[in-house]
Amino acid sequence: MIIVKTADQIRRMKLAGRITGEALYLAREMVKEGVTTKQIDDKIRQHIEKCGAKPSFLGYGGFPASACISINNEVIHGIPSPNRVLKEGDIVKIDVGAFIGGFHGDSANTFGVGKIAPEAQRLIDVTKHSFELGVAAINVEAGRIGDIGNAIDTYVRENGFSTVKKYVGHGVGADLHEDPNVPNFGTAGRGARLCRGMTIAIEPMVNMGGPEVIERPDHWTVVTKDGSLSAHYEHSVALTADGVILLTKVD
Amino acid sequence: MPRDGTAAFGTVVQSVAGRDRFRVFLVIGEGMERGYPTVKVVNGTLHRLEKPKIKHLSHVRVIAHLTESEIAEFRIDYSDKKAAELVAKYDYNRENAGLMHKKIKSVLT
Repeated sequence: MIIVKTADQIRRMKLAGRITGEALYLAREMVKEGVTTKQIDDKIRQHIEKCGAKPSFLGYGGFPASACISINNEVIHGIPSPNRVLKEGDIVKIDVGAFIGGFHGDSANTFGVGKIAPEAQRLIDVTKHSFELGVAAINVEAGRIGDIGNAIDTYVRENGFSTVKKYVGHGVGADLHEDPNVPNFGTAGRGARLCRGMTIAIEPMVNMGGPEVIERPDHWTVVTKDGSLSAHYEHSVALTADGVILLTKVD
Repeated sequence: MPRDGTAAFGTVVQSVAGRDRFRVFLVIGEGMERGYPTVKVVNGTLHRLEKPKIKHLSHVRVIAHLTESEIAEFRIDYSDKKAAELVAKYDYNRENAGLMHKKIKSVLT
């Protein structure tokens, strides 16, 4: 069941979104050669808790950390570790969530470590722009979920990459994962109706190679089946009378 | 954090596209076809366990999940009869299943 939020609830979600966005911003500043993913996770947790919030991912389904930090061909759900050290040329996906005031925020971005390959940079740029096109395709009054995924997938395929099909975006609010699913592919004009008050996390996951992914034996980390690089970009957004608000975007 | 968008074993789904629109099925497996997620579905009658129907994930919608005890029972009694029984339990609009398109067609003509 899709839960539509009131204006007051969206206002409260803005706080969760702001803390999430700030945590991701701080994480970006730490992305350098020689830093471990555990150090980044600690920084994220520190900031979220300092703001009086709780990390959304910690303990969620048994996840053992505050952020998912995935490197190169790892798509999502990478578990931070003191043994994972960032190297020049890596691309790092950091996915963060914060819970405060009864609501969650959820955001992710992909960062290069030092100088990265031009094609890797293009992958990151295409992923981010596909998100922007997905948001632009939202018609708050009369749109469908399929409009978003169609816009994302079309752009990604035009650029020679592929969207991950197995994992999808989702509604977000009092629960981290709510209905509806927000796939990064689909047919325009199909799927659940969009309406004011919906809060969803749009999160294209884009692979340089094929769309297939597999899960590692740790039951969390998802990697590309063909070993190609992957990028991820996400914001929680609210559909309002004034248009689409990016709840987790901080300048 | 992304969500797993596939439908696992024991998910009850309703077809939203094709000639079997509105029919309810039980998911017994997942797959991929040309990069798009698919599910293997049965209803114990028209589509049986030995030859499940493969549907694109976007052509079904999840309407329920079997309870853990129902999944356990189904794994033990893995038969078309059991599948049909479970589908019937969750098929709230049974009399219209598979017939809606005919009704709509008759209204339009």
